[in-house]
Amino acid sequence: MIDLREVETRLREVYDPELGLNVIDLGLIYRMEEPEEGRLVIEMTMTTPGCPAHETLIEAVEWAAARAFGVAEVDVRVVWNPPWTPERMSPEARRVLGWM
Amino acid sequence: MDVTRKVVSHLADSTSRPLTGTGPGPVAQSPPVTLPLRYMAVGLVCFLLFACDLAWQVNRGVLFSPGAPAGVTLTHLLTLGGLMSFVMGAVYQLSTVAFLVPIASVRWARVLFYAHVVGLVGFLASFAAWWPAGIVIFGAWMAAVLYGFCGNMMVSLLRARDRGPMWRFVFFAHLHLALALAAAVTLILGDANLWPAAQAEQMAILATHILLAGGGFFGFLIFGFSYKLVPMFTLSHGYDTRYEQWAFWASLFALYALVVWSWAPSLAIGLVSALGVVAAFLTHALAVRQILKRRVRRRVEAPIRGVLAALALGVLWAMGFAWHVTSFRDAAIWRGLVPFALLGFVSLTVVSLAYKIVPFLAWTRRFAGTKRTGSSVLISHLLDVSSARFVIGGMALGATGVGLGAPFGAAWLCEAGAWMVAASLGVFAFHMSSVFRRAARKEGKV
Repeated sequence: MIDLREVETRLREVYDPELGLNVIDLGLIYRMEEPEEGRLVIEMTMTTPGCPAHETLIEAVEWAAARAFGVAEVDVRVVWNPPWTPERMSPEARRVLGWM
Repeated sequence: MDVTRKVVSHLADSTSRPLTGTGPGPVAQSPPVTLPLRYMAVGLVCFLLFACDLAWQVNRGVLFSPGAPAGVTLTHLLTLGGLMSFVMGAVYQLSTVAFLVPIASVRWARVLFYAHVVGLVGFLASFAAWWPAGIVIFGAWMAAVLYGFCGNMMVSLLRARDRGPMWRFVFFAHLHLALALAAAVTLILGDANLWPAAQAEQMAILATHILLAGGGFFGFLIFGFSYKLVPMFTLSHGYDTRYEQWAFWASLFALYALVVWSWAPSLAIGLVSALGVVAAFLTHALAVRQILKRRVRRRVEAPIRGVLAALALGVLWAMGFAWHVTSFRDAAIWRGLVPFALLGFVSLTVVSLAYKIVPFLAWTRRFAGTKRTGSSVLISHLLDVSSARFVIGGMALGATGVGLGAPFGAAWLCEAGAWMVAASLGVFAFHMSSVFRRAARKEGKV
């Protein structure tokens, strides 16, 4: 059984290389599920369609999530609906970007 | 145990929605970063050579005799060498990001790179030595290379589904480049006495070439890609896009009116084209303002401020052009307008955006795969973008100095401005080279 809290902690190590903020604080991770034992499905988005860091972020999320205990397989799915909005960011991320 | 419904609810706003992701998608079509980086590296070398040549020539009157061999060489070192090479690399990368389409042929783009370098060296050397046969041979060579580039990009762009104002700007930019090349080939044939009729209309053809290449290609690309890059770098969402549409039609109208004016120089056509140019810059400025109003990153970084400064110089150029028309094409005013457009609007925009694009590409090349080894190198570790403010300020002031010095007959102002531009481009080249040095040094660790 996968500890999704641990996965979240791991994902806090994945940074958007341009913004210098992690994907959790940016609100890019929409959902995480374990539909079957050991298989982790992550639904995430990007700040903009065609984000140049798209592939890099997906690979980094896959790698970071796979390090969590009990994860045998990671399936990262990129979705555009609902679109990312600044409201999804954590207060810390908003503060860093000067949005508060 | 039923694990199928286990969800981290605080990450999502609708936990009952089933997983619907489509897997890794949209930008898997980006070309290998070595492709744009090679073109950009050639562009950077040419920017540096231009800076050295400008500093060397500044006291030799090159600013006041742009038609002399030294002036023509200097101009093409900037336009064809620095700007075109850099922009070709940027277009290969940005088109995939902006329109979510792959480049029609990456292999063709790679082959063209080597042909581009050979042609560029031959063409610039022929200009510098004023070797007419070389200008014809390498001019035709460069035209073939750039036609190849246009073809590759236009085929790629035609695959895009979303054809909004940004797409129209970029597509028409390539169309205008093809037309500008046709004008350049005609000029070369006329100069070589291979087409006497072209020689008779030399000034109109030259004006058409400059308008289509400078405004029709570089200007359209800058306007179009601004609608992707400014929102991306300022994290802007949900802004009003209606001005983008207006900016496109105003730009198209202004460009074609200008071309007509260069062949039929009447005051009425000149006034209409001046009105179109002012409308194009103002509607574009309004479109950019809408983007900035909705930005998430409140602090505007130096490169974006550079883009805005370049736009301000573009607006000044448009107003100066209106002055030029009403003063019955005063040659001194025209000499002042060229630096505003070329050094101010076009070069400053390209240099500013380079501070965002080059570090990203270098980072992707060096560190994109190293997440797996625990690297936490960020793009900001390769270059502090705030350092761009000195280059941007220097270029903006320098272009203004050259631009104002010419119509007011202040040679010292022209020369001081040229020195500032040369020094700024030298620092710019140093900054860009430091990106690669740092990327090589970091070895995947901070």
